[in-house]
Amino acid sequence: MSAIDRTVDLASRAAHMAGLRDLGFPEYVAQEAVSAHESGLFSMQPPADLLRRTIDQCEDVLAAPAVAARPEALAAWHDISEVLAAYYMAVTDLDGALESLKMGHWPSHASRSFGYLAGECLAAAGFAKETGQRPMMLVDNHNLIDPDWWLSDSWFSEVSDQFAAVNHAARTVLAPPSAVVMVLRPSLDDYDHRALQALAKLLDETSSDVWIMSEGQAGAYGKQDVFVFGDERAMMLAERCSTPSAAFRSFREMSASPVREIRAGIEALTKQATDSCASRGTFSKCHDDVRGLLGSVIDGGQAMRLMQSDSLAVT
Amino acid sequence: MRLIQTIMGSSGPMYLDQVRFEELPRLYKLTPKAAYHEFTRRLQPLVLQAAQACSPRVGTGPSQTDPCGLTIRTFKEFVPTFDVGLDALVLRRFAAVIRRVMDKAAFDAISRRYYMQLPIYHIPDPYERAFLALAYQSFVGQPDMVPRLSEQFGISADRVIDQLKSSNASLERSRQKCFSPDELHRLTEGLIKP
Repeated sequence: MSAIDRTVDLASRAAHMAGLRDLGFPEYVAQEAVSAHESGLFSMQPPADLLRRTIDQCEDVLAAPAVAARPEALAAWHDISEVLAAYYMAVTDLDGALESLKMGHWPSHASRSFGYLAGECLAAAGFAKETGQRPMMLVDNHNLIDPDWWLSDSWFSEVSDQFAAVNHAARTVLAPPSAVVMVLRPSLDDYDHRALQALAKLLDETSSDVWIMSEGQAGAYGKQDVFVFGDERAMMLAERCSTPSAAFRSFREMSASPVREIRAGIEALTKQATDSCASRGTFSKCHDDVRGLLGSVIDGGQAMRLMQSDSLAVT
Repeated sequence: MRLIQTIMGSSGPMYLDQVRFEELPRLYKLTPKAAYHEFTRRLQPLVLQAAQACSPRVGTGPSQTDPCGLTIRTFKEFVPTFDVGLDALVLRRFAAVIRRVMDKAAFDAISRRYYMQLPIYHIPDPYERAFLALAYQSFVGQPDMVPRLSEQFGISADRVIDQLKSSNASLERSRQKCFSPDELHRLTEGLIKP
């Protein structure tokens, strides 16, 4: 390197360091970060599926969840980790949790702490027990939410796991699982390899009843993404967002009367789709078959459904 | 409490992505996949950088030197000891695994930004916490850090600059308030200064 090049290099480094210090980063952090840049450590960005591949590879060595304890044993909840722990215990022992709620054994501050997603899912499971209806409903609109987010984003991934937990709880009380209406993009070309891979995995692992339809077939829900918990709480998204966190910030909350109308609307949509569903036989849920399935719906104009009671059969 | 607010943690209870690092091993006992998914999500960008800094080893196959493969292997090797020992030392335990699977040079390339994760998750304000965590995990040192944070959070570049300054100030306060000098030294191998 010539003396001039080295001078320019040093000046560039100094400017980079000064910039980071101005933003409040400590000197030793700025030094390490600039060295990382100069060494080319940012040249490889994490592939979109790296997180999912890592967890998949870890699955066989991850521990089994602890055996559920009675919720009333958790008398003193000091922080959010205890509340989350109690939630996971409760969902694996739904009858016990609901009994504790009725008998007032739930710590008083828990009802405030449970005003978040996990609590809504638990309440939805309770709704399924009392009414025999589906605990939750989801309009999963691929025009607003990337299929890959369900696997790569912690929030979406956690919601997906909670659907599984709530569906498990619904099965124990002989209620049907949650309903998912997948609204597809206008063209098969709008799905890249990553999205198709994600869909293959989601359809392979889902514990919900799934209806797959085009935007036109979805009627009013063709332009929306909707979560419904029981018959009293829902959230709705009507705009495309570039990131999962932006999507969560954009969801609009609804309650009571509109929620029941939304729930009835989704139920009517699934019934209508069921009446006109194509019969396809067994679906292997591999990547190519996902492509074929989407193509049938988009180009063939007929909805598809995957019912948990039918196991792997598509009717 | 509003559903959306509580999901986002902007007021009231936090969600998994805002739980402190030392709380993840305890959650792991009850919900292993969710807790380990969150642990991996936070640290994977830094571990991938370490994998790229790892010296090529003589006599090993491609799978040993491919950065993604090394990253996956590092996280997989850590699983059995994730919740073994003191919860507060979870980052030190993982640092030892990074050094073992890769090498010392690999960990040295990320060590300060890595250990700074500990006090970051003690910042009281959830938005500042999430903002700075992402900056440290993925973007600090990259020339386009500001535009990328602007895109991620949907705010202007000027707002990103202001947010970085105020969040770093909050980090400094929480570091001093939440950790004694001895404790910080012990938990971060002395790499984060009080």
